[in-house]
Amino acid sequence: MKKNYTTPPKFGHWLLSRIYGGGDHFTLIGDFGEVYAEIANDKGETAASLWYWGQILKLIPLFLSNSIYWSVQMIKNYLKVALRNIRRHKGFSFINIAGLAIGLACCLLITIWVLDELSYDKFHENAANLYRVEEDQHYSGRIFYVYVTPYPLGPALKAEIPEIIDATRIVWTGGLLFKYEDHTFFEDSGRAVDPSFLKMFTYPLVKGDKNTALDSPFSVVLSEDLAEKYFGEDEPIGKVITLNNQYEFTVTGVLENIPHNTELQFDFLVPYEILKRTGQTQEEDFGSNSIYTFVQLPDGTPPEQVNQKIFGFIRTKLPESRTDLRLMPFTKLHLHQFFGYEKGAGAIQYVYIFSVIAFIVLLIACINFMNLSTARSANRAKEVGLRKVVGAVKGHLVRQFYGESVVYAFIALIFAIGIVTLLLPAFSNLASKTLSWSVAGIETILIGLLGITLFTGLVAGSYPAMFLSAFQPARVLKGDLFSGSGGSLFRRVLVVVQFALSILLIIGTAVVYQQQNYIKNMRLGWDKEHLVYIPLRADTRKSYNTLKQELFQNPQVLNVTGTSQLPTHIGSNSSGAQWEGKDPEFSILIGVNAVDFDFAETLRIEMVDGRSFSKEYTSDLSKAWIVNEEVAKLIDKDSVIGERFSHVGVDGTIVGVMKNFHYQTLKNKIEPLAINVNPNLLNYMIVRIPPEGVSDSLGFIEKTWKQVIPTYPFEYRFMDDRYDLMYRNEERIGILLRYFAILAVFVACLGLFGLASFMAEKRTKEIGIRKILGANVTQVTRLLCREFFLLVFVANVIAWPTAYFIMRKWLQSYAYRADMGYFVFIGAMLLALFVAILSVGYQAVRAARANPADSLRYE
Amino acid sequence: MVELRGASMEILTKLEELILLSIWRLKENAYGTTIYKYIEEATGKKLSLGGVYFPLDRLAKKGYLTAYIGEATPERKGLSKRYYHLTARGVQALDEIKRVNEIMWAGFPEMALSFPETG
Repeated sequence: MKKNYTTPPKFGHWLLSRIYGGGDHFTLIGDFGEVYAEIANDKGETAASLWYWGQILKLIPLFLSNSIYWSVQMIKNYLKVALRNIRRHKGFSFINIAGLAIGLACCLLITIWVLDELSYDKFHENAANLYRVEEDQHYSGRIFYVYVTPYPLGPALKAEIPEIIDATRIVWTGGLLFKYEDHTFFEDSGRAVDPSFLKMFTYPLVKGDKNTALDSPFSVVLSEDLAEKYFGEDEPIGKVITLNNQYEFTVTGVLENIPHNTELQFDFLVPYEILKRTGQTQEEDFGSNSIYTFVQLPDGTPPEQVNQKIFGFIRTKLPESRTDLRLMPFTKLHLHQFFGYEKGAGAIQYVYIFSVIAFIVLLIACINFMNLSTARSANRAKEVGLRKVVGAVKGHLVRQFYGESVVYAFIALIFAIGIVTLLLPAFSNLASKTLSWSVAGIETILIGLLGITLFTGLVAGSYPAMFLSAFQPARVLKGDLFSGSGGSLFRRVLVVVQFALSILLIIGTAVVYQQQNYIKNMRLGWDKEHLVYIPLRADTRKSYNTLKQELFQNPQVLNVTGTSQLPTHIGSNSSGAQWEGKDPEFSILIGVNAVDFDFAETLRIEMVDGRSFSKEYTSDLSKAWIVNEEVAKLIDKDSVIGERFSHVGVDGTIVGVMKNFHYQTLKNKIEPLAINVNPNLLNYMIVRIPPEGVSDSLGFIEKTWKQVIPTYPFEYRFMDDRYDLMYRNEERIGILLRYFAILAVFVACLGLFGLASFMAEKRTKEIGIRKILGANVTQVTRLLCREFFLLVFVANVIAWPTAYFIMRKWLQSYAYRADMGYFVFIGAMLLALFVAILSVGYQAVRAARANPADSLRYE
Repeated sequence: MVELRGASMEILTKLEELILLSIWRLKENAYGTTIYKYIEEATGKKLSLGGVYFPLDRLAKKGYLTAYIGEATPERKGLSKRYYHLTARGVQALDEIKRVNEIMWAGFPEMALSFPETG
């Protein structure tokens, strides 16, 4: 039995009413029902249902195009009004767009920098499965973080732990003398690695086979640059290079130049095997810590699982060891590595700082926009009233003003892209990396730009949209142009926020600058100026004594000494020190450095007790120690001179105590240190020259070197350069910080300038009347400036404690820190007031000087 | 030369034109279903029923049509019909279309429409 009037599917029915959103949608559903019933009667309900659903499907594209049609109509109108407004109020538009453009440009530059920082080592195919093996060493209740490992660890882990599918050792080769035909250079940045290195890491070879390139112990793999340096256009594969005038190495591969965004920077690779053959490794020793070990886990293996297995691994080889092992993800090394010389606390800190700054600058620019748009609301009041009268509801107007701010943001984006493109080379230079738009794929960039611009537009437009759309049409159209006080409190709050943020940045920048200066000029306990150091490579060490004697002949050389580690970077230490009266349970790492005679004299380290090393005592050559005050404190006796002291296998007596001096970055505290004389371990010669006649001195040193060691080229560096190098990264960041702070303040001023000019304009009549009643220019100017000064003052009150707490936290990462003097805060306030005077004062004076006759006639 | 009046008049789409014409023809009985069926019959093409609604709305918003809610029938499950009427502007638009078409088609011979088969 068929029913007379069939009912269409319920769900379809509901869907129809959603798609066709008009108020009369039931008529459409009725029409559908009518046709449906007809088809159902003719051909049955199935056919009717099919037709019904087909119709709904066909409706969807129509619905979409229709809704786009109407939004396009409205957007066209909004755009037209927005562009008209921009054209009509050129000054305000300029300020708005300039502010937003600068804010966006800052944001984009910082984003590019941050993306680059985040991209480090992500390009390796195995990136997620690569780990560095690191150690926690426990001594006397303290944990020492060590990231170098024993020589035999890599192969042992691979053999015994099933989850470790591959391992490689990475050893810095030190400088090697490369010789090919008449090309002879020192090459500094080489690594000795296991053959698995090229398979684990993705450093592609442009020539050669990555599976076999490092199989032969006398093979070498060069970077493209290096290959070109030695062979020019010739085929490099198969060429033979002589290393250190001693070994012949065959080129078996050419690496694509190493990208800048990797932590492992090198120019050539040699097999680890060669170190073994030349006796430079300790293959049985699980107690030493000298080389990097990297391992690869299978896909998806959590490192925690492997950590459990390797935690006590060293103790299975060396039961008395106090070393625990754990894995550190390779991709985290760049940002999260908190130790290691020249690195400072992980770069992630700066990623956070700069991201916050980017946000602050953008926010300041958005506040400008809000302030200016609402301040000028009188100009838009009539438009809002009229739109409402002809039927716009609040939602339409909100949408319109959002649309308008988005239009502004997109115009600003165009300028911002221009600014960024112009500044990128300079910015790359400052940040010391090659940055470009290609840090991310084109889709990501486009979506990012779109997102950031929409965000800016919506934030900037949020308050104006709410404020302007709320006008009562009846009132504004009657000409009752509101008192303007509604938004002015909020506006004041915004100005305070803006300036508080700027002051925060000023104080932050100043404190960072102060701290960096403090570190640069801190008394190190030795004199780093006018010191030249010369690396003693390969067999040049043998000629050290001759060289030293020759150098002493000349008055242009004040003193000469040798050292195994530079006094800026003493990193070796050991826990085995013994002295009389030492608690056998007590164990501590004591730094150690092998030096030559005249070490303290050349570096000008003060002795507080005893004497310096002297050739007059033959025992000094093997049995004497000089310790620093920290060691003396540990031994804890009235005088430690003459005490027996045994360390790193040298059993001797303490002959002197030197005043504590800084031998690492100033992030670290001065730790116990002992030095002894050992001519066999010297890696650098250090020469003190007089302040005047530097080039003469250098000329002489070079001449002497060439006489004594003609086979090796002469190289030298200044100690203070080396020292500055340690802080170069931080200094760069300090400079960047300064620029962004300046920009932030500038954008804030731009907004203040606009606001002030608007205020002056609004009070034209008031000023005219005041002047007629006898007020002079000074009084009127003061009147106009007073409010802004008050606001800047309040901003200071908010910014000071905030800045104090944030910066105190930051300073705590340094072992030695500069005082945050009150003058930093006072200075920031004066600076803020000064820029406020500059931006407000001009407008105020101009308004105050206007002829009252003109201003009162302006109706 | 015939003067083209009403330069402000928008150029309507073919579908909009057909809808206006069918409303004119259907007189008092122009609502969704009848308009849809009429156009389907006249053109011989399968249309989407929903497809006539968006143009109808658009034409109404632009002032070519007025709509009023009419009676309901049992097969519509008590849902009213929405009838459409041409406004003066709608009639004027049809007039305009006719004139423009005449100008554009003037002198176009019937036979030219059927191409002689070559070969």
